[in-house]
Amino acid sequence: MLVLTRKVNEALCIGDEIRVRVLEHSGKQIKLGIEAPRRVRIVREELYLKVVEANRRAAEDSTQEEDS
Amino acid sequence: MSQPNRIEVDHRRVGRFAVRESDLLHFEGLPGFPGARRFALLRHDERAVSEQPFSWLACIDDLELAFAVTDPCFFVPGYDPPLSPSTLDALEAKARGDVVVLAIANLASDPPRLNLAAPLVIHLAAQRGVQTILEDTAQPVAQPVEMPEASRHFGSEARVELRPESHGAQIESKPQT
Repeated sequence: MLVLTRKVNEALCIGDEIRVRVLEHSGKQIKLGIEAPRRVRIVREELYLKVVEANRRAAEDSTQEEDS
Repeated sequence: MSQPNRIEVDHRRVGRFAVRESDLLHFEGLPGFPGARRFALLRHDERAVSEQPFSWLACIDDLELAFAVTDPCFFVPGYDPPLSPSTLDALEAKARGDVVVLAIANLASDPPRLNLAAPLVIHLAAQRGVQTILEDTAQPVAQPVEMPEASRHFGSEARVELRPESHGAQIESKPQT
């Protein structure tokens, strides 16, 4: 994993189209501003991982034992 | 009768079926399944969606991968998730009315559960689909619902028939016996 240190108001660029800026820092919370093309999906990681888990569960074959 | 661009599939999860390339739905992967790009939306039997609400979304790139999908409004009347302009753009849809919204069902769970937090949004005319993740709603990823009697054996019985074009359209061919 690439690790970079940024100060408030500093940003980093991911490719040519995505920019992530540190807007605010207070206590344990950091507020980020993200500029990205509309087609890029941005969601919180914990929600994304819940969807991954739900998809994997839904893809499990519940009827396998009944096949012959 | 010649059937150009028809793909014969022996799918390990849902059985054998044939699908026209023009009926395939293209996704740019799904969360957890980044390589799953081409899907066929299939009816499992001849019953109407209003009677037996589950269909298969069977992956053509991974012949073990299929999702049971359903119209979430069948179970949760009024479910109408906000779709962002970028979601519609990505599907080449001009308006909300161009797309259908389906929910992935986990039928291995008892009771079955619907993912209402990440619905499938499909633009049938453009053959494009996406699983969108609703950031700002409190919709659950695993909403328990009651299994309709007509769906009790969904996935464990006989044949699959392709239902092309639209969710709820006519069945293309008779089941084999």
